[in-house]
Amino acid sequence: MTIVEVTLAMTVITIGALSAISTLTQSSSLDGDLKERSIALRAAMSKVESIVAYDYNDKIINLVNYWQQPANSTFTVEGLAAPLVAGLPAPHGSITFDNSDPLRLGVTVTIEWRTRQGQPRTFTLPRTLTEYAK
Amino acid sequence: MRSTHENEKGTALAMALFISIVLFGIAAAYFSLSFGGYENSTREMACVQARLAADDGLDLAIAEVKSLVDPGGDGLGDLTTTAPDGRTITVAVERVSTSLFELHSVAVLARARSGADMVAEIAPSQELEFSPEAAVCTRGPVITTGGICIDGRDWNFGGTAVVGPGTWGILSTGTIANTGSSMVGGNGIPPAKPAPPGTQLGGYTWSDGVNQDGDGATDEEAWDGIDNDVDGLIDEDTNSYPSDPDVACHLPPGTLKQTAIWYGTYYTTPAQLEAAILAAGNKFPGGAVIFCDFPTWNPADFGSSFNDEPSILVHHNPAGSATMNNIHGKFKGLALVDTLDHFNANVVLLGAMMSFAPAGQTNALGNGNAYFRFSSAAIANLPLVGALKVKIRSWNRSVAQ
Repeated sequence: MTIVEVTLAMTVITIGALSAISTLTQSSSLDGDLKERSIALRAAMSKVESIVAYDYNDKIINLVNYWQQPANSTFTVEGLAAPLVAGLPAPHGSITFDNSDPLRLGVTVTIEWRTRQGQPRTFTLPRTLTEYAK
Repeated sequence: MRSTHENEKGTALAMALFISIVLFGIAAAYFSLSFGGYENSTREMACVQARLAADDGLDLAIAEVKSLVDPGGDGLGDLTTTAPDGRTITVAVERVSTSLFELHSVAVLARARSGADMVAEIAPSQELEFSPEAAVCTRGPVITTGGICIDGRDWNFGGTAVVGPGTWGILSTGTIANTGSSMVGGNGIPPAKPAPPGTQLGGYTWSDGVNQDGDGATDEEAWDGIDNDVDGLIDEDTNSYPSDPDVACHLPPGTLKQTAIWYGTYYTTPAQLEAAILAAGNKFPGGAVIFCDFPTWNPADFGSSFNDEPSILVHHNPAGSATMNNIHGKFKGLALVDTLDHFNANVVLLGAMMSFAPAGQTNALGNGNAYFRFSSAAIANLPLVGALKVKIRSWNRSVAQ
Protein backbone atom coordinates (compact mmCIF):
# COMPACT_ATOMS: atom_id res chain seq x y z
CA MET A 1 0.00 0.00 0.00
CA THR A 2 1.75 3.09 -1.20
CA ILE A 3 1.07 6.72 -0.64
CA VAL A 4 -0.08 6.94 -4.23
CA GLU A 5 -2.53 4.13 -3.75
CA VAL A 6 -3.96 5.65 -0.58
CA THR A 7 -4.30 9.02 -2.23
CA LEU A 8 -6.09 7.50 -5.18
CA ALA A 9 -8.44 5.56 -2.89
CA MET A 10 -9.22 8.65 -0.86
CA THR A 11 -9.96 10.55 -4.06
CA VAL A 12 -12.35 7.87 -5.27
CA ILE A 13 -14.14 7.76 -1.92
CA THR A 14 -14.41 11.54 -1.87
CA ILE A 15 -15.87 11.67 -5.36
CA GLY A 16 -18.28 8.85 -4.53
CA ALA A 17 -19.33 10.45 -1.27
CA LEU A 18 -19.86 13.84 -2.88
CA SER A 19 -22.01 12.27 -5.60
CA ALA A 20 -24.02 10.41 -3.02
CA ILE A 21 -24.48 13.53 -0.92
CA SER A 22 -25.54 15.50 -4.00
CA THR A 23 -28.08 12.85 -4.93
CA LEU A 24 -29.39 12.68 -1.37
CA THR A 25 -29.71 16.45 -1.30
CA GLN A 26 -31.69 16.43 -4.54
CA SER A 27 -33.89 13.66 -3.20
CA SER A 28 -34.49 15.57 -0.04
CA SER A 29 -35.39 18.63 -2.09
CA LEU A 30 -37.82 16.56 -4.16
CA ASP A 31 -39.39 15.25 -0.97
CA GLY A 32 -39.84 18.81 0.23
CA ASP A 33 -41.41 19.81 -3.07
CA LEU A 34 -43.69 16.80 -2.94
CA LYS A 35 -44.89 17.68 0.53
CA GLU A 36 -45.47 21.32 -0.42
CA ARG A 37 -47.36 20.41 -3.60
CA SER A 38 -49.62 18.07 -1.65
CA ILE A 39 -50.40 20.86 0.78
CA ALA A 40 -51.04 23.27 -2.10
CA LEU A 41 -53.29 20.75 -3.86
CA ARG A 42 -55.37 20.22 -0.73
CA ALA A 43 -55.63 23.95 -0.12
CA ALA A 44 -56.72 24.63 -3.71
CA MET A 45 -59.26 21.78 -3.68
CA SER A 46 -60.69 22.98 -0.41
CA LYS A 47 -61.10 26.49 -1.74
CA VAL A 48 -62.67 25.31 -5.00
CA GLU A 49 -65.18 23.27 -3.03
CA SER A 50 -66.01 26.29 -0.88
CA ILE A 51 -66.59 28.40 -3.98
CA VAL A 52 -68.76 25.78 -5.68
CA ALA A 53 -70.81 25.29 -2.51
CA TYR A 54 -71.51 29.01 -2.12
CA ASP A 55 -75.24 29.66 -2.34
CA TYR A 56 -75.49 32.45 -4.92
CA ASN A 57 -79.26 32.52 -4.91
CA ASP A 58 -79.70 31.98 -8.65
CA LYS A 59 -77.50 34.95 -9.55
CA ILE A 60 -73.92 33.95 -10.13
CA ILE A 61 -72.81 37.56 -9.86
CA ASN A 62 -73.49 37.18 -6.13
CA LEU A 63 -70.81 34.51 -6.05
CA VAL A 64 -68.35 36.72 -7.92
CA ASN A 65 -69.06 39.69 -5.68
CA TYR A 66 -68.58 37.64 -2.55
CA TRP A 67 -65.36 35.95 -3.54
CA GLN A 68 -63.90 39.12 -5.04
CA GLN A 69 -64.04 40.93 -1.72
CA PRO A 70 -60.46 41.52 -0.58
CA ALA A 71 -61.02 39.46 2.54
CA ASN A 72 -62.09 36.48 0.45
CA SER A 73 -60.12 36.74 -2.79
CA THR A 74 -56.81 35.96 -1.11
CA PHE A 75 -56.12 33.53 1.68
CA THR A 76 -53.29 32.09 3.65
CA VAL A 77 -52.25 28.50 3.20
CA GLU A 78 -51.62 26.55 6.36
CA GLY A 79 -48.76 24.09 6.31
CA LEU A 80 -46.45 25.78 3.85
CA ALA A 81 -43.37 27.19 5.54
CA ALA A 82 -42.32 30.78 5.00
CA PRO A 83 -39.17 31.17 2.90
CA LEU A 84 -35.91 31.46 4.78
CA VAL A 85 -34.86 34.37 2.62
CA ALA A 86 -36.08 37.61 4.16
CA GLY A 87 -38.38 39.88 2.18
CA LEU A 88 -40.03 37.16 0.12
CA PRO A 89 -43.83 36.84 0.32
CA ALA A 90 -45.39 34.22 2.56
CA PRO A 91 -47.31 31.34 0.99
CA HIS A 92 -50.79 32.44 -0.10
CA GLY A 93 -53.68 31.62 -2.35
CA SER A 94 -55.74 33.81 -4.64
CA ILE A 95 -59.01 33.50 -6.55
CA THR A 96 -59.53 35.02 -9.96
CA PHE A 97 -62.61 35.08 -12.15
CA ASP A 98 -63.07 35.21 -15.88
CA ASN A 99 -66.60 36.29 -16.69
CA SER A 100 -65.98 37.35 -20.26
CA ASP A 101 -68.39 34.63 -21.39
CA PRO A 102 -71.82 35.52 -19.97
CA LEU A 103 -72.81 31.86 -19.84
CA ARG A 104 -69.65 30.57 -18.17
CA LEU A 105 -67.73 31.77 -15.18
CA GLY A 106 -64.12 30.68 -15.09
CA VAL A 107 -62.76 30.38 -11.56
CA THR A 108 -59.07 29.84 -10.98
CA VAL A 109 -57.58 29.15 -7.57
CA THR A 110 -53.85 29.79 -7.49
CA ILE A 111 -51.52 28.79 -4.68
CA GLU A 112 -48.14 30.53 -4.65
CA TRP A 113 -45.28 29.74 -2.37
CA ARG A 114 -41.49 29.60 -2.29
CA THR A 115 -39.24 26.77 -1.37
CA ARG A 116 -37.01 27.12 1.66
CA GLN A 117 -34.33 28.21 -0.77
CA GLY A 118 -36.57 30.92 -2.19
CA GLN A 119 -37.47 29.36 -5.52
CA PRO A 120 -41.01 30.33 -6.63
CA ARG A 121 -43.67 27.63 -6.96
CA THR A 122 -47.23 27.93 -8.30
CA PHE A 123 -50.15 25.56 -8.47
CA THR A 124 -53.42 26.44 -10.21
CA LEU A 125 -56.77 24.69 -10.21
CA PRO A 126 -59.36 25.91 -12.74
CA ARG A 127 -63.13 25.36 -12.51
CA THR A 128 -65.96 26.50 -14.73
CA LEU A 129 -69.34 27.41 -13.26
CA THR A 130 -72.61 28.45 -14.82
CA GLU A 131 -75.52 30.37 -13.44
CA TYR A 132 -77.88 27.60 -14.43
CA ALA A 133 -76.07 24.72 -12.77
CA LYS A 134 -77.97 24.78 -9.48
CA MET B 1 6.59 -8.98 5.52
CA ARG B 2 7.57 -7.58 2.23
CA SER B 3 5.68 -10.23 0.36
CA THR B 4 2.55 -9.61 2.57
CA HIS B 5 2.53 -5.90 1.72
CA GLU B 6 2.98 -6.79 -1.88
CA ASN B 7 -0.14 -9.01 -1.63
CA GLU B 8 -2.17 -6.04 -0.24
CA LYS B 9 -1.35 -3.82 -3.19
CA GLY B 10 -4.56 -2.45 -4.77
CA THR B 11 -6.91 -3.44 -1.92
CA ALA B 12 -7.32 0.16 -0.73
CA LEU B 13 -8.49 1.22 -4.16
CA ALA B 14 -10.81 -1.75 -4.42
CA MET B 15 -12.30 -0.97 -1.00
CA ALA B 16 -12.70 2.67 -1.96
CA LEU B 17 -14.48 1.73 -5.15
CA PHE B 18 -16.71 -0.70 -3.27
CA ILE B 19 -17.63 1.86 -0.61
CA SER B 20 -18.29 4.48 -3.29
CA ILE B 21 -20.56 2.13 -5.22
CA VAL B 22 -22.49 1.24 -2.06
CA LEU B 23 -22.89 4.90 -1.14
CA PHE B 24 -24.01 5.81 -4.63
CA GLY B 25 -26.36 2.85 -4.75
CA ILE B 26 -28.04 3.95 -1.54
CA ALA B 27 -28.31 7.50 -2.82
CA ALA B 28 -29.68 6.33 -6.17
CA ALA B 29 -32.29 4.17 -4.48
CA TYR B 30 -33.39 7.08 -2.31
CA PHE B 31 -33.51 9.36 -5.34
CA SER B 32 -35.54 6.79 -7.23
CA LEU B 33 -38.06 6.62 -4.40
CA SER B 34 -38.29 10.37 -4.17
CA PHE B 35 -38.72 10.76 -7.90
CA GLY B 36 -41.41 8.11 -7.89
CA GLY B 37 -43.23 10.01 -5.17
CA TYR B 38 -42.92 13.21 -7.14
CA GLU B 39 -44.33 11.54 -10.21
CA ASN B 40 -47.21 10.17 -8.17
CA SER B 41 -47.88 13.64 -6.86
CA THR B 42 -47.93 15.02 -10.40
CA ARG B 43 -50.38 12.33 -11.45
CA GLU B 44 -52.55 13.04 -8.43
CA MET B 45 -52.69 16.69 -9.40
CA ALA B 46 -53.62 15.75 -12.95
CA CYS B 47 -56.35 13.47 -11.61
CA VAL B 48 -57.80 16.25 -9.49
CA GLN B 49 -57.75 18.63 -12.43
CA ALA B 50 -59.40 15.97 -14.62
CA ARG B 51 -62.06 15.39 -11.99
CA LEU B 52 -62.88 19.07 -11.78
CA ALA B 53 -62.91 19.31 -15.57
CA ALA B 54 -65.42 16.44 -15.72
CA ASP B 55 -67.54 18.30 -13.16
CA ASP B 56 -67.25 21.40 -15.35
CA GLY B 57 -68.73 19.34 -18.17
CA LEU B 58 -71.72 18.38 -16.05
CA ASP B 59 -72.31 22.01 -15.09
CA LEU B 60 -72.12 23.17 -18.69
CA ALA B 61 -74.50 20.45 -19.84
CA ILE B 62 -77.01 21.28 -17.11
CA ALA B 63 -76.78 24.93 -18.12
CA GLU B 64 -77.70 23.98 -21.68
CA VAL B 65 -80.59 21.85 -20.53
CA LYS B 66 -81.95 24.50 -18.17
CA SER B 67 -81.62 27.36 -20.61
CA LEU B 68 -83.00 25.29 -23.49
CA VAL B 69 -80.21 26.80 -25.57
CA ASP B 70 -77.96 24.52 -27.59
CA PRO B 71 -75.12 26.74 -28.81
CA GLY B 72 -73.27 23.85 -30.46
CA GLY B 73 -76.34 22.53 -32.25
CA ASP B 74 -75.31 19.01 -31.25
CA GLY B 75 -78.28 18.18 -29.06
CA LEU B 76 -79.48 19.82 -25.89
CA GLY B 77 -76.87 19.17 -23.21
CA ASP B 78 -74.43 17.40 -25.52
CA LEU B 79 -71.20 19.30 -25.88
CA THR B 80 -67.49 19.04 -26.64
CA THR B 81 -65.20 21.80 -25.48
CA THR B 82 -61.44 22.27 -25.48
CA ALA B 83 -59.88 24.63 -22.95
CA PRO B 84 -56.82 26.79 -23.69
CA ASP B 85 -54.63 24.39 -21.72
CA GLY B 86 -55.61 21.54 -24.03
CA ARG B 87 -58.07 19.71 -21.82
CA THR B 88 -61.03 18.28 -23.67
CA ILE B 89 -64.44 17.81 -22.12
CA THR B 90 -67.15 15.75 -23.79
CA VAL B 91 -70.66 15.41 -22.39
CA ALA B 92 -73.56 13.29 -23.57
CA VAL B 93 -77.04 13.82 -22.13
CA GLU B 94 -80.01 11.52 -22.39
CA ARG B 95 -83.49 12.66 -21.37
CA VAL B 96 -84.96 9.59 -19.70
CA SER B 97 -88.28 11.20 -18.86
CA THR B 98 -89.77 14.70 -18.82
CA SER B 99 -87.68 15.73 -15.85
CA LEU B 100 -85.04 12.99 -15.48
CA PHE B 101 -81.70 13.27 -17.26
CA GLU B 102 -78.66 11.03 -17.46
CA LEU B 103 -75.45 12.95 -17.99
CA HIS B 104 -72.07 11.44 -18.85
CA SER B 105 -69.04 13.71 -18.82
CA VAL B 106 -65.49 12.74 -19.77
CA ALA B 107 -62.50 15.04 -19.32
CA VAL B 108 -59.21 14.21 -20.99
CA LEU B 109 -56.01 15.90 -19.82
CA ALA B 110 -52.45 15.23 -20.83
CA ARG B 111 -51.77 12.86 -17.95
CA ALA B 112 -55.19 11.81 -16.72
CA ARG B 113 -58.77 11.33 -17.77
CA SER B 114 -61.85 11.40 -15.59
CA GLY B 115 -65.47 10.46 -16.10
CA ALA B 116 -68.50 11.65 -14.16
CA ASP B 117 -71.99 10.20 -14.47
CA MET B 118 -74.97 11.97 -13.00
CA VAL B 119 -78.67 11.36 -12.90
CA ALA B 120 -80.39 14.67 -12.34
CA GLU B 121 -83.98 15.70 -11.99
CA ILE B 122 -84.49 19.05 -13.65
CA ALA B 123 -87.96 20.48 -13.30
CA PRO B 124 -89.87 23.72 -12.73
CA SER B 125 -89.86 24.66 -9.08
CA GLN B 126 -92.55 27.25 -8.53
CA GLU B 127 -96.07 26.58 -7.35
CA LEU B 128 -98.69 28.51 -9.27
CA GLU B 129 -99.99 31.50 -7.39
CA PHE B 130 -103.54 31.54 -8.68
CA SER B 131 -106.63 32.02 -6.60
CA PRO B 132 -109.74 31.42 -8.69
CA GLU B 133 -112.60 33.63 -7.67
CA ALA B 134 -115.13 31.82 -9.86
CA ALA B 135 -115.54 28.78 -12.07
CA VAL B 136 -115.62 31.20 -15.00
CA CYS B 137 -114.07 34.66 -14.95
CA THR B 138 -114.34 37.05 -17.87
CA ARG B 139 -113.39 40.59 -18.66
CA GLY B 140 -116.27 41.15 -21.07
CA PRO B 141 -120.03 40.44 -20.90
CA VAL B 142 -121.27 36.84 -20.67
CA ILE B 143 -124.24 35.11 -22.25
CA THR B 144 -124.98 31.55 -21.23
CA THR B 145 -126.93 29.67 -23.86
CA GLY B 146 -128.42 26.27 -24.60
CA GLY B 147 -128.06 23.61 -21.93
CA ILE B 148 -124.74 24.61 -20.44
CA CYS B 149 -124.33 24.19 -16.68
CA ILE B 150 -121.80 26.36 -14.88
CA ASP B 151 -121.26 25.25 -11.30
CA GLY B 152 -119.02 27.14 -8.85
CA ARG B 153 -119.52 24.59 -6.09
CA ASP B 154 -116.39 22.67 -5.19
CA TRP B 155 -116.18 19.37 -7.04
CA ASN B 156 -113.76 16.63 -6.02
CA PHE B 157 -110.62 15.72 -7.95
CA GLY B 158 -112.39 13.07 -9.99
CA GLY B 159 -115.27 15.37 -10.83
CA THR B 160 -117.75 12.90 -9.37
CA ALA B 161 -119.13 14.70 -6.32
CA VAL B 162 -119.57 18.11 -4.75
CA VAL B 163 -117.38 18.40 -1.65
CA GLY B 164 -117.78 22.03 -0.62
CA PRO B 165 -119.56 25.33 -1.24
CA GLY B 166 -116.86 26.47 -3.63
CA THR B 167 -117.05 29.92 -5.14
CA TRP B 168 -118.97 31.98 -7.69
CA GLY B 169 -120.20 30.32 -10.85
CA ILE B 170 -119.46 33.36 -13.04
CA LEU B 171 -117.70 36.64 -12.32
CA SER B 172 -117.50 39.28 -15.01
CA THR B 173 -116.59 42.92 -15.27
CA GLY B 174 -119.46 43.19 -17.77
CA THR B 175 -123.07 42.04 -17.73
CA ILE B 176 -124.25 38.44 -17.45
CA ALA B 177 -127.30 37.14 -19.32
CA ASN B 178 -128.67 33.60 -19.01
CA THR B 179 -130.68 32.26 -21.91
CA GLY B 180 -132.12 28.93 -23.05
CA SER B 181 -132.04 26.26 -20.38
CA SER B 182 -128.57 27.19 -19.15
CA MET B 183 -128.00 26.95 -15.41
CA VAL B 184 -125.57 28.56 -13.01
CA GLY B 185 -124.66 27.50 -9.46
CA GLY B 186 -122.00 28.37 -6.95
CA ASN B 187 -121.23 29.42 -3.38
CA GLY B 188 -122.97 26.27 -2.17
CA ILE B 189 -126.06 26.79 -4.31
CA PRO B 190 -126.85 24.05 -6.87
CA PRO B 191 -127.14 25.14 -10.51
CA ALA B 192 -130.60 26.32 -11.46
CA LYS B 193 -132.43 28.26 -14.11
CA PRO B 194 -132.65 31.14 -13.78
CA ALA B 195 -129.33 31.60 -11.98
CA PRO B 196 -130.04 31.95 -8.24
CA PRO B 197 -128.76 35.06 -6.52
CA GLY B 198 -125.27 34.53 -5.15
CA THR B 199 -124.14 32.28 -7.99
CA GLN B 200 -122.99 34.87 -10.51
CA LEU B 201 -121.92 38.49 -10.37
CA GLY B 202 -121.72 40.97 -13.19
CA GLY B 203 -120.02 44.36 -13.05
CA TYR B 204 -117.39 42.98 -10.73
CA THR B 205 -114.48 45.42 -10.46
CA TRP B 206 -111.89 43.00 -9.08
CA SER B 207 -111.36 45.38 -6.21
CA ASP B 208 -111.99 43.25 -3.16
CA GLY B 209 -111.77 46.07 -0.62
CA VAL B 210 -109.07 44.23 1.28
CA ASN B 211 -105.67 45.74 2.04
CA GLN B 212 -103.67 42.62 1.17
CA ASP B 213 -100.20 44.09 1.73
CA GLY B 214 -101.09 46.04 4.86
CA ASP B 215 -99.61 49.29 3.53
CA GLY B 216 -102.53 51.54 4.41
CA ALA B 217 -103.82 51.68 0.82
CA THR B 218 -106.53 49.35 -0.43
CA ASP B 219 -106.56 47.85 -3.92
CA GLU B 220 -103.99 50.37 -5.10
CA GLU B 221 -102.43 48.36 -7.95
CA ALA B 222 -103.62 47.62 -11.45
CA TRP B 223 -103.23 43.89 -12.14
CA ASP B 224 -100.74 44.36 -14.94
CA GLY B 225 -97.42 42.92 -13.86
CA ILE B 226 -96.04 46.40 -13.12
CA ASP B 227 -95.08 47.95 -9.81
CA ASN B 228 -97.47 50.89 -10.27
CA ASP B 229 -96.97 52.39 -6.82
CA VAL B 230 -93.20 51.87 -6.87
CA ASP B 231 -93.10 50.12 -3.52
CA GLY B 232 -90.98 47.23 -4.76
CA LEU B 233 -93.96 44.91 -5.01
CA ILE B 234 -95.82 43.88 -8.15
CA ASP B 235 -99.59 43.38 -8.18
CA GLU B 236 -99.68 42.96 -4.43
CA ASP B 237 -103.14 44.49 -3.94
CA THR B 238 -105.02 44.70 -7.22
CA ASN B 239 -108.04 46.58 -8.50
CA SER B 240 -108.43 45.39 -12.10
CA TYR B 241 -108.82 42.33 -14.28
CA PRO B 242 -105.42 40.72 -15.00
CA SER B 243 -103.99 41.71 -18.33
CA ASP B 244 -102.74 38.30 -19.49
CA PRO B 245 -102.26 34.70 -18.27
CA ASP B 246 -98.73 35.27 -16.91
CA VAL B 247 -99.87 38.32 -14.99
CA ALA B 248 -102.91 36.46 -13.66
CA CYS B 249 -100.55 33.88 -12.16
CA HIS B 250 -98.11 36.51 -10.83
CA LEU B 251 -95.39 35.27 -13.16
CA PRO B 252 -92.85 37.22 -15.22
CA PRO B 253 -93.80 37.64 -18.90
CA GLY B 254 -93.25 34.51 -20.97
CA THR B 255 -92.98 32.13 -18.02
CA LEU B 256 -95.92 29.93 -19.01
CA LYS B 257 -94.65 29.64 -22.57
CA GLN B 258 -91.13 28.80 -21.41
CA THR B 259 -92.50 26.22 -18.98
CA ALA B 260 -94.57 24.64 -21.76
CA ILE B 261 -91.47 24.43 -23.95
CA TRP B 262 -89.75 22.67 -21.07
CA TYR B 263 -92.60 20.17 -20.66
CA GLY B 264 -92.56 19.58 -24.42
CA THR B 265 -96.14 20.82 -24.63
CA TYR B 266 -95.69 24.00 -26.61
CA TYR B 267 -97.71 23.69 -29.80
CA THR B 268 -97.71 25.93 -32.83
CA THR B 269 -100.42 24.10 -34.76
CA PRO B 270 -103.65 22.34 -33.72
CA ALA B 271 -102.36 19.18 -35.44
CA GLN B 272 -99.44 18.99 -32.99
CA LEU B 273 -101.80 19.20 -30.01
CA GLU B 274 -104.20 16.68 -31.52
CA ALA B 275 -101.32 14.26 -32.06
CA ALA B 276 -100.31 14.68 -28.40
CA ILE B 277 -103.88 14.01 -27.25
CA LEU B 278 -104.00 10.90 -29.39
CA ALA B 279 -100.62 9.73 -28.07
CA ALA B 280 -101.86 10.18 -24.48
CA GLY B 281 -104.74 7.76 -25.09
CA ASN B 282 -107.26 10.33 -26.26
CA LYS B 283 -106.66 12.46 -23.17
CA PHE B 284 -105.37 15.97 -22.83
CA PRO B 285 -101.67 15.98 -21.81
CA GLY B 286 -101.66 15.80 -18.00
CA GLY B 287 -99.51 17.52 -15.39
CA ALA B 288 -98.12 20.08 -17.84
CA VAL B 289 -98.49 23.60 -19.11
CA ILE B 290 -100.03 23.35 -22.57
CA PHE B 291 -99.28 26.51 -24.50
CA CYS B 292 -101.20 26.78 -27.77
CA ASP B 293 -99.45 29.34 -29.94
CA PHE B 294 -101.93 29.38 -32.80
CA PRO B 295 -104.96 31.60 -33.39
CA THR B 296 -107.76 29.09 -33.86
CA TRP B 297 -108.56 25.49 -32.96
CA ASN B 298 -111.69 24.25 -34.70
CA PRO B 299 -113.01 21.72 -33.86
CA ALA B 300 -111.31 21.60 -30.48
CA ASP B 301 -111.45 18.10 -29.02
CA PHE B 302 -109.89 17.72 -25.56
CA GLY B 303 -110.22 13.93 -25.60
CA SER B 304 -112.77 11.47 -24.33
CA SER B 305 -111.43 11.20 -20.73
CA PHE B 306 -110.05 13.60 -18.17
CA ASN B 307 -106.31 14.09 -18.18
CA ASP B 308 -104.89 12.10 -15.21
CA GLU B 309 -103.13 15.10 -13.66
CA PRO B 310 -104.50 18.64 -13.92
CA SER B 311 -102.89 20.83 -16.55
CA ILE B 312 -102.70 24.51 -17.33
CA LEU B 313 -104.10 25.31 -20.76
CA VAL B 314 -102.98 28.62 -22.24
CA HIS B 315 -104.52 29.85 -25.48
CA HIS B 316 -104.00 33.57 -25.71
CA ASN B 317 -102.51 36.25 -27.92
CA PRO B 318 -101.90 39.95 -27.21
CA ALA B 319 -105.12 40.92 -29.03
CA GLY B 320 -107.14 38.47 -26.93
CA SER B 321 -108.49 36.88 -30.11
CA ALA B 322 -107.30 33.26 -29.80
CA THR B 323 -110.35 31.07 -30.20
CA MET B 324 -111.31 27.47 -29.60
CA ASN B 325 -114.47 26.59 -31.52
CA ASN B 326 -116.88 23.68 -31.54
CA ILE B 327 -115.49 22.13 -28.37
CA HIS B 328 -115.67 18.46 -27.44
CA GLY B 329 -114.20 16.35 -24.65
CA LYS B 330 -112.98 16.71 -21.10
CA PHE B 331 -110.33 18.82 -19.46
CA LYS B 332 -109.13 19.02 -15.87
CA GLY B 333 -107.14 21.99 -14.62
CA LEU B 334 -106.92 25.69 -15.28
CA ALA B 335 -107.90 27.12 -18.65
CA LEU B 336 -106.39 30.54 -19.35
CA VAL B 337 -107.91 31.27 -22.71
CA ASP B 338 -109.28 34.09 -24.80
CA THR B 339 -112.46 32.60 -26.21
CA LEU B 340 -114.17 29.22 -25.92
CA ASP B 341 -117.00 29.10 -28.42
CA HIS B 342 -119.80 26.54 -28.93
CA PHE B 343 -119.64 23.69 -26.48
CA ASN B 344 -120.96 20.28 -27.45
CA ALA B 345 -122.93 17.96 -25.20
CA ASN B 346 -120.07 15.86 -23.90
CA VAL B 347 -117.89 18.70 -22.67
CA VAL B 348 -116.83 18.74 -19.01
CA LEU B 349 -114.32 21.29 -17.79
CA LEU B 350 -113.21 20.61 -14.22
CA GLY B 351 -111.19 23.27 -12.41
CA ALA B 352 -111.49 26.90 -13.41
CA MET B 353 -111.46 29.04 -16.51
CA MET B 354 -110.36 32.63 -17.02
CA SER B 355 -110.95 34.47 -20.27
CA PHE B 356 -108.65 37.16 -21.64
CA ALA B 357 -110.89 38.31 -24.48
CA PRO B 358 -111.21 42.13 -24.63
CA ALA B 359 -113.75 43.87 -22.45
CA GLY B 360 -115.85 44.74 -25.48
CA GLN B 361 -116.25 41.15 -26.58
CA THR B 362 -119.19 39.11 -25.37
CA ASN B 363 -118.36 35.64 -24.08
CA ALA B 364 -121.07 33.32 -25.38
CA LEU B 365 -120.88 30.13 -23.32
CA GLY B 366 -123.21 27.41 -24.35
CA ASN B 367 -125.10 25.63 -27.06
CA GLY B 368 -124.75 22.00 -25.86
CA ASN B 369 -125.29 20.33 -22.51
CA ALA B 370 -121.77 21.09 -21.35
CA TYR B 371 -120.53 21.36 -17.76
CA PHE B 372 -118.14 23.86 -16.19
CA ARG B 373 -117.33 22.59 -12.70
CA PHE B 374 -115.13 24.38 -10.25
CA SER B 375 -112.65 22.13 -8.40
CA SER B 376 -110.24 23.45 -5.80
CA ALA B 377 -108.57 20.02 -5.74
CA ALA B 378 -107.74 20.30 -9.42
CA ILE B 379 -106.40 23.83 -8.96
CA ALA B 380 -104.35 22.73 -5.95
CA ASN B 381 -102.63 20.05 -8.01
CA LEU B 382 -101.60 22.11 -11.00
CA PRO B 383 -98.09 21.48 -12.34
CA LEU B 384 -95.11 23.48 -11.16
CA VAL B 385 -93.99 26.37 -13.33
CA GLY B 386 -91.16 28.86 -13.62
CA ALA B 387 -87.45 28.52 -12.96
CA LEU B 388 -85.97 25.08 -13.35
CA LYS B 389 -84.26 23.52 -10.36
CA VAL B 390 -81.79 20.68 -10.37
CA LYS B 391 -81.97 17.78 -7.94
CA ILE B 392 -79.09 15.35 -8.19
CA ARG B 393 -80.32 11.79 -7.85
CA SER B 394 -77.02 9.94 -8.24
CA TRP B 395 -73.40 10.69 -9.01
CA ASN B 396 -70.54 8.43 -9.97
CA ARG B 397 -66.93 9.25 -10.79
CA SER B 398 -64.08 7.31 -12.33
CA VAL B 399 -60.50 8.35 -13.02
CA ALA B 400 -57.91 6.76 -15.29
CA GLN B 401 -54.32 7.58 -16.18
